[in-house]
Amino acid sequence: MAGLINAEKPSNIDDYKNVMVFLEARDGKIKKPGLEMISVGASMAHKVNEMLIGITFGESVGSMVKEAGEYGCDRVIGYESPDLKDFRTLPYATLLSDLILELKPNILLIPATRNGRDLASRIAVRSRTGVTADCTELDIDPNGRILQARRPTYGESTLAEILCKSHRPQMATARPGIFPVPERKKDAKYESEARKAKIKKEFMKKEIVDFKPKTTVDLTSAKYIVSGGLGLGKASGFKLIQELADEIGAYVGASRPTVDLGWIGKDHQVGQTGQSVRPKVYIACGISGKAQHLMGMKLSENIISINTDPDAEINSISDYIINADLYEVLPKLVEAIRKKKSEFEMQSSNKKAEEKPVKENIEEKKEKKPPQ
Amino acid sequence: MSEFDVIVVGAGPAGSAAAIRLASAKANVLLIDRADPPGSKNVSGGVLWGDSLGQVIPDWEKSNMLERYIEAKGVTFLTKDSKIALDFRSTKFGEVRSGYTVLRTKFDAWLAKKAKDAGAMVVSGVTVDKLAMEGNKVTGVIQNDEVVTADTVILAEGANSRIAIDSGLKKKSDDRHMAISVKEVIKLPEKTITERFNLTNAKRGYASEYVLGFLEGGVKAGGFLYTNRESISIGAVISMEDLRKNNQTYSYDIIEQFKEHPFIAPLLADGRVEEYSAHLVPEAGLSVDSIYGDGYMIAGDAAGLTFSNGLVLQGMNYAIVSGIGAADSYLATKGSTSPERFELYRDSLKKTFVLKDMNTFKGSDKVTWSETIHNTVPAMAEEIMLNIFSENGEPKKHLSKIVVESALKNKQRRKDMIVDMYRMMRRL
Amino acid sequence: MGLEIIVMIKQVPDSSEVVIDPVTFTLNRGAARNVINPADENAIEQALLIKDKNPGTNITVITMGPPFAETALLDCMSRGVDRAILVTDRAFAGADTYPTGLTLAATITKIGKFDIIYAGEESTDSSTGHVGPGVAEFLGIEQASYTSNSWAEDGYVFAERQLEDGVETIKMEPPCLITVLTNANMPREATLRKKIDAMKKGIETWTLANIDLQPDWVGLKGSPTVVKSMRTINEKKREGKKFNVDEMDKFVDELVEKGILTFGVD
Ligand SMILES: Cc1cc2nc3c(=O)[nH]c(=O)nc-3n(C[C@H](O)[C@H](O)[C@H](O)COP(=O)(O)OP(=O)(O)OC[C@H]3O[C@@H](n4cnc5c(N)ncnc54)[C@H](O)[C@@H]3O)c2cc1C
Ligand SMILES: Cc1cc2nc3c(=O)[nH]c(=O)nc-3n(C[C@H](O)[C@H](O)[C@H](O)COP(=O)(O)OP(=O)(O)OC[C@H]3O[C@@H](n4cnc5c(N)ncnc54)[C@H](O)[C@@H]3O)c2cc1C
Ligand SMILES: Nc1ncnc2c1ncn2[C@@H]1O[C@H](COP(=O)(O)O)[C@@H](O)[C@H]1O
Repeated sequence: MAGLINAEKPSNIDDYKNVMVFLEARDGKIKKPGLEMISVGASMAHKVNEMLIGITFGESVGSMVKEAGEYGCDRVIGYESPDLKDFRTLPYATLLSDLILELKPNILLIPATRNGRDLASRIAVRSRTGVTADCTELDIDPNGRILQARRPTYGESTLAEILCKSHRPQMATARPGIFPVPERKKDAKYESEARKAKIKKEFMKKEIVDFKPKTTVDLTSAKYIVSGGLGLGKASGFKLIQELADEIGAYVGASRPTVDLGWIGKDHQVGQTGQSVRPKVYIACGISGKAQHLMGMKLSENIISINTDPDAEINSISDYIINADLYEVLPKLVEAIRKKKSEFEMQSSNKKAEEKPVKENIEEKKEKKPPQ
Repeated sequence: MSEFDVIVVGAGPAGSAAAIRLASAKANVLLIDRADPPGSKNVSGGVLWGDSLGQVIPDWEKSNMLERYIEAKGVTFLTKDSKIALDFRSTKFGEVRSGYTVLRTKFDAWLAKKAKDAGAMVVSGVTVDKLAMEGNKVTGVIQNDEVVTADTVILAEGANSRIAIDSGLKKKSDDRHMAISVKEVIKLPEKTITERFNLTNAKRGYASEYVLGFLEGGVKAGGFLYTNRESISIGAVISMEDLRKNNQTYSYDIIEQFKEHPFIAPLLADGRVEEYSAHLVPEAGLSVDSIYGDGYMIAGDAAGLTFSNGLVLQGMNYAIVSGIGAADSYLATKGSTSPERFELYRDSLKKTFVLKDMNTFKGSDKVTWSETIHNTVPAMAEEIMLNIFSENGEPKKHLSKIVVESALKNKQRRKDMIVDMYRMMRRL
Repeated sequence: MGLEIIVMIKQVPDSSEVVIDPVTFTLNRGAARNVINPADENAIEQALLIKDKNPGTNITVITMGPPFAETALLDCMSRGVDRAILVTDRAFAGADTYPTGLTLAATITKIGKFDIIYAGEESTDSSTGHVGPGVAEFLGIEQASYTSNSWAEDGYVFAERQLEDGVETIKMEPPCLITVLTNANMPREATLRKKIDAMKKGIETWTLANIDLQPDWVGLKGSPTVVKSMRTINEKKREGKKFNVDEMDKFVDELVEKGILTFGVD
């Protein structure tokens, strides 16, 4: 516990060295946002000839430590204990902040996932330093080894650069899906250390009494999204959407009215009151593109609109426009993709999509969900 | 004991003026508006004629809520191809009060704030459901099934007067006495406005009413255009009756036709529509049988105290005067339990210009919505003007001859025309 | 049995109306209305739901902000919150999440006893989500962030956390802090009766002097981070290239050629 105390400027700022990254994991595997910290962390550390130190927690950490090293950490420290199986704020925060005292990292990166932010907030206060949330650009100024943390603000309209010059470590959380997952090298060289952790009883009072895995993976880190709107006309229209999604390894998104009508689950909703997504490809089928919807997807790298209305608002932000009935377009598009894919498969190896979204049974979604 | 001395429903000009007056006299007053901030749903933009506001806010002319002081007043007839305008400018507008343009969303919020500053409790963002009554006596207001009591309720809820109608204090107005008004606020640079309208400076403004004698299907509508500091308020008023008859015509078509008229479009060029609103306007004169009763008074538009006939739109000044009148009647009869105590309110309005104007204009809608004004007069005027000003080599005719010929051509019987002309002179 | 609940709320400019001044990088609030941060409305509602179920519960809402944040507090009281404290002082201006959390934690310490502190998941104007858990750290209490529901039972507090990969139900002993997701519930509307009561009761105003913190611990002086610059994110120019329904093969060819569709090769 920090107590009611101010942020502290350490006098020995130059003693703080290296970049530390927190590698969020579940069930003995480092999660994708954690791996993403390695690429951005390594590039900063190596720019100033420092080390990238990966930190991971778990019931047992052997395989994770190896994973972290092979993905590019110069040094890996894993804490293991049955009490560290699941993420819990206090044990995690205590171990990590003790390690900060011990290793004095110049920079600490944590993925801006929900648990990551939960943890980062507490570490920052306990370490009496600042933290920049949800960064999409991170760089280091080689002179003062100052972290240049840039993050979107005000509804993604502006990029703010935030510095934390006189407090250490310089902390940031980084938005998932922005930084690349580095290449895994079996022959990578790294130092590693597994530490047995002893967790105080008082930190274990918070119990996780239940965990229900989600059947859909969240859209925010999706690379491809196929979304359906009211233009589908009926709940079963989402079958067509799913079909296209399956074909290209995409997740299914939806406009709000289709969710309100119970055609599809709320966790598929994109927009102001749904999820904000920025996939590589967003295919909007029968979506008019009202402001509230655009707010959640306009940062997509490529936008494809399939709409009968040539003046639909979505068209003004689309890279590709197919001005026709989706019921005509989608089967033809799927067919064309299948054709292309088989050509591909003949040519190249059978590389599979890295990650396949879990499908949701659309049939079962006909009823309106009761409000929570 | 009631919780409040007075509850005022509606923070438009009528309600806020009443609340300021009451609170200044230390009455315990609650002012309620459904919008938050108060007035933010009110039709934006208009001219506040006269100086009635001075009665409750002595230094009101110093307020930066006032957009421009009207130094140029127009009355304009538009036909498809022509414009016949009276453009009145007078240095006497310095001495004789004309009016200020205001933007209602800002202005109304400011007035409500004045009520708060004077000591009224101002509650915004809640809609009163109905009146609390004991028999015929109004004892307070009800919202969410909870009663808030007051000695007196002043209903200043505007033209819809849903509460007054639901509570049986007022009959539903029939179509003939209602008009739909649509309005847009169009943003333009201050300097552009001053130049386009030939105004002395950025503090001076122009206001004109229009007869739109060119609309598709002969729909009868009036228009208005007022200059604000950095925007223009433009709108059209269409009689409900006419709109129903021409059920293919929508009110927004009309404002579009108005805006696209060859003599209007250049005035608006490069402007950006900032606001759009539609509103119900009661027309011409008293539509309420009684503007007071046991425990209540009705003020402003809710009492039908508007004068709007499609050419001239006035209501804010009447609203303010009636609000003040209601407040004063409460203060003068405080403590009395007589069901007739608010007779005073009506009497006071009679003494002011409000009811006098209402009586003067009673029946003026017969003229203002007449075929003559909207279609015949503009057409005739155009023809006459063309005749006078065109050089076609023929000998010049005497003016009276031109008029008679034109009237005949426009199938206007001489007698009817004279009657209409007479009515117009008398009532406008 | 009644609980003591504290809700932290922030007044923010209505996000749909905010503009950034490209020169000074400051928020041009312009005509933007100030509203309660959306997630905080859900936090208030969550507290009221607990009060509905646990008679005798007392809810205090606090905010650190400028004097005009009073309207936000009155708004909360109009929905059924019992007490409101505005913590306001020139010294608080320019605070980042650290001193904001510190100021709020010091305020809560002064208030005294509490079972649950509620906050929003994040604010729309700084959107860090750090202030809530930061307060928990200052106070040394447990926390549950990103919750969609929470309730009190048998002396424990339960909360459902929505994570990226699942829903976690947590059981904690009070005192604890909970952050609530935007749209976790439907905030109730204020009523005339409650609005009047709120205005009659009014809010309390505290300053730095009330919370025993040193002036250079709070506000800009107490902030470890500084905003160095802001730039507008240029929206991508989109070509809007058209394909008709019979050109799907050609369309897919183009997508593949441009590397837009890769079929899992990337
Ligand atoms: C406070 C608030 C929050 C909101 N939040 C969200 C949000 O988070 N997400 C969201 O999506 N919306 C949100 N909305 C709703 C939003 O304003 C729009 O109503 C909604 O996005 C419209 O959904 P739509 O495009 O599916 O439907 P519509 O606007 O009805 O569009 C349907 C489109 O389908 C096209 N179409 C019809 N038939 C076909 C066909 N056979 N083939 C191809 N095209 C066809 C039509 O031309 C039209 O463009 C919110 C609204 C409010 C007020
Ligand atoms: C397009 C147009 C242009 C006009 N131009 C001019 C002009 O240039 N000059 C002029 O003098 N007049 C003009 N008028 C007329 C003028 O707007 C009205 O006469 C004047 O606003 C009347 O004031 P009021 O206070 O009676 O009602 P309103 O201004 O209508 O105010 C009523 C208030 O009551 C509130 N309210 C209603 N019901 C409830 C409820 N149940 N609970 C709580 N609150 C409620 C409303 O939110 C509103 O704020 C114009 C009118 C229109 C429609
Ligand atoms: N100035 C403040 N006063 C009170 N609560 C605040 C303040 N700033 C942030 N909060 C709370 O902390 C939450 C997260 O805010 P933020 O960390 O700014 O994203 C908000 O939803 C509020 O509940």
